[in-house]
Order: sequence, then structure tokens, then C-alpha cells
Amino acid sequence: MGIEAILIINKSGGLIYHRSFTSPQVDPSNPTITSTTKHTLNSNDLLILASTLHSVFAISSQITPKALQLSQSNINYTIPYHPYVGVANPQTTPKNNMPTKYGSFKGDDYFKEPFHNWNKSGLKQLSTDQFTMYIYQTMTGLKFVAISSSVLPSGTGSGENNNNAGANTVNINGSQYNMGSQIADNLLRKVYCVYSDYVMKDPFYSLEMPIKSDLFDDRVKSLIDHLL
Amino acid sequence: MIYSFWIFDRHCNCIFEREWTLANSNNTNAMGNGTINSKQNDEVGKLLYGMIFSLNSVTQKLSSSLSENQINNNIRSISTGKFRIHTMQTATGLWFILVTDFKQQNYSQVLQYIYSHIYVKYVVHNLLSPYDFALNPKEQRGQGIKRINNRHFINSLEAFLQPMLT
Amino acid sequence: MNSEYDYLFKLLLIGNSGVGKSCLLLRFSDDTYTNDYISTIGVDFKIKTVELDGKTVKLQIWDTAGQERFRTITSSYYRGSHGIIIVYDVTDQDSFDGVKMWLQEIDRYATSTVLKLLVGNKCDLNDKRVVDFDVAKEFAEANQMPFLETSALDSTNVEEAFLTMARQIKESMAQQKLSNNNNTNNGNAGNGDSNNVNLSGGQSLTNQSSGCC
Repeated sequence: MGIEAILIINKSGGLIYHRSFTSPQVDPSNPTITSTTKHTLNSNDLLILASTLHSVFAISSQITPKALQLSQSNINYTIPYHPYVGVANPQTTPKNNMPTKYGSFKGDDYFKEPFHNWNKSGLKQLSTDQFTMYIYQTMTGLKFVAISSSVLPSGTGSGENNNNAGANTVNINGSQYNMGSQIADNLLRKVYCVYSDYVMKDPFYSLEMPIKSDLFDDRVKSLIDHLL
Repeated sequence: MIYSFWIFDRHCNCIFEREWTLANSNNTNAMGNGTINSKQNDEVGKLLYGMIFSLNSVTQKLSSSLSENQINNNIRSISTGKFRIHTMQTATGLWFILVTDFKQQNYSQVLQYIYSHIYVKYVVHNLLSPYDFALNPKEQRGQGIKRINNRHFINSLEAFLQPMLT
Repeated sequence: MNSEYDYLFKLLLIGNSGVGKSCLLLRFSDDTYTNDYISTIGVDFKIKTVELDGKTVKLQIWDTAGQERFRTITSSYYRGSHGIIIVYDVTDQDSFDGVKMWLQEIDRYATSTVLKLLVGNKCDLNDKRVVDFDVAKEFAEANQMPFLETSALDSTNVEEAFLTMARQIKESMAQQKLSNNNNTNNGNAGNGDSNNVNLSGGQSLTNQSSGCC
């Protein structure tokens, strides 16, 4: 799936990182217009976007259906591990093409086990006609957001020409989320690992404030680049 | 499993609400479990609409930055950790909303059917049903209290959604 | 560098409904447009970009709704705020009495080091005034917070107050960083550090009991 943007929202709802990955590309339906002309959101709009997402977290727990409040829910909050999401696979990639590792993360794939989803009642995935937004929340309330260009297939016929990588409804290990969501969670957890290494260990970083780190930037870029 | 079904009109008022609470009980009387147009759900409806409204305005903004063709970028579904909200907006500004579990990915055809075969047939084509559910211009932003109470509409909606309750 | 700003401060605007919280900021924020968020999700956002000591600072003001139905939700917005502005209406005694309740909320949900500011709104309506300046001033002093009166006609002192607040936040952050780096625990920077995760309950986004009413 193509990742359009990565956002990080701190625990009080402020946008502390935003990076857009869209490159100029030709629109299949109208080849004469390239995306270079499109305007991007300004920083204030992005701040509002991030804080709106944060606010929706508070609301979504308030609107839990009564049937769910009454019954003891047996939702499985474990997200399965998918190997080498956003990381070059050493088995298929020659050694000299491996990205140089500088950091303290564990091994070549950051983590190798299924992990717990702390986002129990908040917003997790948002699907629209044009994109899908995935949100991974850490235990401390930090939110990692990925905006993907893949869309769910629509039953009503609009948006056929979009790729539907996020649509494979594979039920792996009884998890209720689709493949796209699992991949996104794996990817975003890796961004979290990179954040822990390159932002939290940066002595010049002020907590909860905007992230300005070239190293972090590079590592996030590399994760996205390796994501096919 | 379906938890609830909502219709909001273009004034942001909830005009129909149906919540199922005991889907697993042996009670075969469909009308017996859950509530229809319950007063208790007023606040929930406002919050649900508010969440969809604000997310929708955010996605509209985002779409203009992601894509240059000015097609609408409406929300199709919102997933939380516990449930999923499926939405459909009609050209007339109505919102049809279904709150479900995670088993089925896509309910857009269901919502489309409810709109075109049940809502249009029993509410739009019904001459006795008001053209606009807001009784006066003040009834906006969730202030409206008039709901769809048409029993033909309710019965056929129940019959259509019944198989999806479990 | 991907980010156009160096600091992001979260300021919270609270007060009873109808005291004119939103109008207070109309001229202060970057964008003059208003959106309808407040009536839907209980909060609206206003952003002001300011320059402090050569650094770009974004002041993000969370304008919360006073309505009862948002009470449980708005309390979760206190999390991590650097400053809180409590607004009341000088022509409405109830809104001034409500300030006490809002202070309790702050004690409950915000960190103890959060900066507070009391604002009496609509002071141009002098003939309808019911809350005396001196009474409010005394109250603000007793609760150790700055106080000012303002109106939609003249909002310059509000801007001044916001900038002062921003400066204070930045200073306290620099101080905190210094004390963290020196590994010392002197002064008030060490206790109730607003940058740390507060595990003392009442701050989680979910499972909140409805307010004090």
C-alpha cells in the first residue's frame, strides 16, 4: 500500500511530527494534470486535523453500543506480527544492499512477536472514498497515524481504479482487523521503535514538542521506502 | 452483528434511531429487543453525529491536498477498537449509519438498499410523511425532535436487518 | 526540517456556556474563519503563531464547549495542557460562581504546575455589571492567578495576557530541561512535572466518571 503521510500526535493531542510522502505523479484518469500543482495543507490545518483525531478518541468511547456495554466482550487485542514490513528482508536482499544500522533496536526487524493493541476504544481506522487512515496508539497515549492511498472496495461502484491493497479480508489468528490494518500496525509500531531510538534518546529534544531530527526523518523514510 | 442503525437529516438532526441490545436472546419478537427512537439515545446520537461530522470535514480538507480531482471524499467506515461505524451520505444530505462488529468489512450495499428500497418507498413516497423533519428553522444542529414513526418503514427495516443481527 | 514551528503549546479555554469564550479569541487567532466543531465534538481549535526569542511558537487554543453533555469529554482535554484560561461573564453572577467549580476540575484533571488565568468578559456592558472588578481581583489573588477584564470591543489586553503566558511556559520549560539535565530536583520544576506521564488516575481518556455534578 502506498503511504501518503505519517503523523505523530502527542498524548495531549498536539501534532509533533508530520511528513508527506507523495511525489509528483500522473493521475491515471486525467494524464494531463500532474499532482505537482496541488496545494498542501498548511501547518494550522494539520494541527487541527491532529487535534480533531485526538478529540474523536474521547468521543468514540462514549458511543459504545449498549449491546457491547452489557456483554462481556471477547475481542482479541493481539495484532499478529508480519515479517519485514518496511524493512529489507535479509533472505531476499543481498547483504551490501542492506541499510546501515545505527541504533539500538533489536535485530534486523525491530520486533518479532505479536503485540498488544492498546487502542481499545479509540479510533483505529478511517476509510473514505480516497484513502484509508490507520492509527496506532501506544500505551502512553502517543498516536502514530498513517494515511494510505489504498481504499476499501466499494459496493456501489465508485473508485474502481484505486488499488485495493487494504481490502484483503484475511482472518489471521482470529484477529478482527483486515490485512491492511495489521500491516499498518506493524509499520507504525516500527515507527514507534524508531521514535524511541532517535527522538526519546535525543538529549536536545523537549518532550511533547515538535520533532526536528534528521536521523529520525531518514529512518522513517527508509521504512516507507521499503514498504511495497 | 449489527448494534444500531441511525438516520440523520441535512439539519444534523437524528430522524431515526434503532438500537439492538439483546441480539443473542431467544426472544423472537424483533420489536422486543432494543429500542426505537429512544430518548435515552439522544445524547449518543449527537455525539455519533458530531464525530462523523468532524471527521468528515477533516477528510474533505485532506482530500483536496491529496488529490486534484474535486470528487467528494466521504467517509465510508470508521473503526474503533470495539466496533465499526459504516456511513453513507445521500445526495440530499442524509446520513445513513450502521454500527456493527468487525465480521463483515463492507455494509455499503446494505445501506444503499435501506435508502433506495425502504426509505424512499415508505418515507419519501409517503404523502403523509413530512417533506422536512425539522418543524421550524430553529430545529437545527440536533435540536429537532421529530422522528420517523411510520410502522411500514420500521417493519420492513426490521425484516431486512433481522438476518444480520447475529 | 519538516516542521515550521519549534514549540507547540496547548492552552485550554474553559467557562460556563454563553460567557463568550469563542468571541474572545476571534481577533487573536491566525485564521479568522470559525468552524462548527465546538457544537459537534465539544471543542474548537484556534491557533496563533508567535515569535519568542527567535523561535516560532504555535499556541494552540482548545476552546471547549460549556454544555453539560460534553463534560466528560472536555475533561479529557485537560491532559497535557500548558495553560488554562477560565472565562466568566461580568454580567452573569452564575458564571462567576462557576469559576470555583472549574478550578476544582483543573485540580482534578490538569497537572499542578499548569498556568492559570482568569478573564472577566463583556466589561463594556458596565450598566449590567453584577461582578465587581475588586471582588474578582481578590478571588484571583486568593487562587494565585492573574486576572483581567476584557470585551469584544477591546481585546488588546487578552493578546498581551496570552503572550505573557506563552513566555512563562517557555521559561518554565527551559528551566525544567535544565533541572532535568542537571539531575537536580530543586524548586517546583521537579514535582508534578507537566511533561511526565501522570499515572495518578483521572487522566485517562476512557472510563471517566462524569464530573463533579
